[in-house]
Amino acid sequence: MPRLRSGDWPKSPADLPFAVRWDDLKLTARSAPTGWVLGRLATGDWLELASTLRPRRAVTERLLDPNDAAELRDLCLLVRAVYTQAAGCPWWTARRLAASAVTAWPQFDGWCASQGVDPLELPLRRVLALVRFRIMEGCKDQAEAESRKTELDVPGPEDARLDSADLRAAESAAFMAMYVAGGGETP
Amino acid sequence: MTTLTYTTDTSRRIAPTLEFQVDGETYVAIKPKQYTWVSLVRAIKGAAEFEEQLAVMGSFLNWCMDPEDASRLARRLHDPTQNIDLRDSDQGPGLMTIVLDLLKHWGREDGQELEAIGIATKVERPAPRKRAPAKKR
Repeated sequence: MPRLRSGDWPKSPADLPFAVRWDDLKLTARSAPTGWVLGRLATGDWLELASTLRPRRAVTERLLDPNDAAELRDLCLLVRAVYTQAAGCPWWTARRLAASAVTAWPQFDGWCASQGVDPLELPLRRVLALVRFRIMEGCKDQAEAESRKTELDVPGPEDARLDSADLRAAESAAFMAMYVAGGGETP
Repeated sequence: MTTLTYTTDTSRRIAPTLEFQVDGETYVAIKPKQYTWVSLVRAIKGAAEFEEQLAVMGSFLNWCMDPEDASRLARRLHDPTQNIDLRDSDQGPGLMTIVLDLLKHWGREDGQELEAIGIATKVERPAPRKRAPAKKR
């Protein structure tokens, strides 16, 4: 079985809930049932995922306030950063892993059960780690493993459309620190 | 406890205004925020009935115009002696068409950004009025 290289996997992701600071606004990114999060991640429904940010009213007020520079786009980038942190991998990778899990849920859930694990009881990063493990385990050789890894880890065109400066802003100091801890490789 | 920090980039924000005219009278529309824009577009898509279109117009006046211009336009809209309507007529475009054109304009400006975050930016005319099925005699 091909092995993951050192640095492939962030070493210090954070499980929800955790604190979020959006400019001067203090928020909490609350935990939600893993199955619910996987479903939203699989479809890239960041607006639904944004509902885990509390207090919700404060978020909406910022988006409506004409004197506040915060836009929907900022909320999108913030949600991506939150779930990057919680998933322990970039947003696009988390989406693809979640989509794989949701698409083949009966098989994945059955395999987890055979290992004595209930995936819905695990934090998000652990479930996604299991999905990645299953995907990589199924590769016949190193070439296929590299190909699968690229499919999972390379950002898609829709991600490239949000320019890199904004991604840098969104994927905050905490996010970068996570990758530095993981061996200095950034996505 | 982990704290994730996000800082809004304020340097790229602009709040342009657009002038529009109704029967030669000029009003200034203020570009809505993205959240407001999306809310208006979704409301328009579902606004088949006159009352729903009136509600959309109310939201537009509240969110996209300064209070003075908004009340001036609202007064005209509710004045039966004024030849101004929500719907298009022989006399010219109705207010809904003007609002749609403004939203389309702003949608083009923000389009790439909104589409990149998965929000459709196509502004459509309101759904046609639903007609009750003809009763059989």
